[in-house]
Amino acid sequence: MTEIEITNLSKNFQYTEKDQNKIFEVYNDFNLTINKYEFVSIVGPSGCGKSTLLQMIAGLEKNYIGEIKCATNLNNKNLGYMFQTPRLMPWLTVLENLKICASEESIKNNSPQKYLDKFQLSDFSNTYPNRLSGGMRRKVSIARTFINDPDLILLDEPFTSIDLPVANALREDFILKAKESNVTLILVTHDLKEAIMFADKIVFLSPRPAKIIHQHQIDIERPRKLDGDRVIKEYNSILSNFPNILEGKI
Amino acid sequence: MKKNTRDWHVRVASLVFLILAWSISSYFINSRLFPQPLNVIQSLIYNTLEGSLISDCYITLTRALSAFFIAMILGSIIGISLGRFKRWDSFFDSWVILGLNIPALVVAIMCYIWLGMNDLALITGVVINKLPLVIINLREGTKAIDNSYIQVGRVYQLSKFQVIQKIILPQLYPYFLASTRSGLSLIWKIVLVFELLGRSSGVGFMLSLNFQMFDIAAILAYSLAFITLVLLIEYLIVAPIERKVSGWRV
Repeated sequence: MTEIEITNLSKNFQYTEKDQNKIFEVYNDFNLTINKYEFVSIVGPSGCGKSTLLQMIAGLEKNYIGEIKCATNLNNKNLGYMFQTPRLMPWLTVLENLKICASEESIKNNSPQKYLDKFQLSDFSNTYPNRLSGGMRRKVSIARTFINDPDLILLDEPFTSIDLPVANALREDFILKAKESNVTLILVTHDLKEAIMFADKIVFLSPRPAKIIHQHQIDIERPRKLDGDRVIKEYNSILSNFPNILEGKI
Repeated sequence: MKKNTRDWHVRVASLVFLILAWSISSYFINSRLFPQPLNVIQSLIYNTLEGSLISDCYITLTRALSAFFIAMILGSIIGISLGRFKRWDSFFDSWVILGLNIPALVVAIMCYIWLGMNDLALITGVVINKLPLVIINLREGTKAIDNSYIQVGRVYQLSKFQVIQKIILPQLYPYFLASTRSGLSLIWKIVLVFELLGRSSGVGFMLSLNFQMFDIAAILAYSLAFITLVLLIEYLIVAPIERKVSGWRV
């Protein structure tokens, strides 16, 4: 069953350079299908439009040509989104940050407190985010992503710029929770090992205007470790078959 | 806590030193044009009990607060609009700069000529003086709003009211507070000038009266009374509000 169907997507950005209006194409006639409950990693070189794709799926970026069909009704607090930075409101406490994003039903079920307990954040419920470590802020951000038991989760390189051990622990927590929850998940990353760790399928993009250059099925049993033998083996196998794939060339 | 206590001691010591330096210098100068602190206190008590100090302070405070609230409300609406709409900002920018540079005295004279020697002219003039400062503060605050938090609000389907209350206003509070602080200190001084020029009541009028009689003790007594009032507003109203809305920064 299809969760997301992107057809004939074209997207341009306009910018001004030396008083001249210029346009660059991010997508031109782009097509992608993602199945329900599938975990998909999108890998491509920097600036190829990976984050823009997530923003278009989430409805944050509406200025495009083509069609993005989503089986999930995103107007019903049914989406979880982890951005590159945690984006916690610094003027709200940890608990308030969760409550403001929670649906009425989640509030009724006391989900904010339950998720704080689940991620060992209960002692910090009344703390402001600027007094938490980077890893703990990400944990709050993860809790917020799951707060409404969403059907679709979008992850935009959420584990970059934090310590490797903390990032690994967060990734494992995240995947565990996501698999329990029956969600469709799209991860955008330029880290191939991370992509393998998360995905049932990896979609490789070219530089812009982005095209799909390769789709790779990952059949490794879960749970997976970022530096586990099977992930490393798959990583080596992809790179030996397609040495320039991370630069968007095949 | 210890640091706060030490700070408090330093502040009191500084005040005592100022009064002591004033007493000693006025003792040696020995002129009725430079009265001792004790004479000022005596004048303060006399004008409070026998004179019209309380009613004059009340009248001036009412005028100052009326002008302050009108300037804050109008300035906020205009400032936020200019920050939000670039075209409007470009159109009105020179008006704001013009308003910022018109001398208060010119506005006072023009308002009294156009509107008559009444409170309406006084309040209008003070508002015109204060308005550009509020507009500039709020305009810059609106431009500095971090849209990434608004995106979080859109992903989690926050209502417009929630976005304004929980995401936009907290980012504008520091600018409101800066306008409040600068506004209060500016407005009460301008109100005195306006009263001195064209009203027959209020602290400004009494300063002018005492100036004509060379009663320096009374001038200082009236100033002291009004400064105390403004400080009370600062410490009892503005500072607690600031602590409440900016507590997360500590």
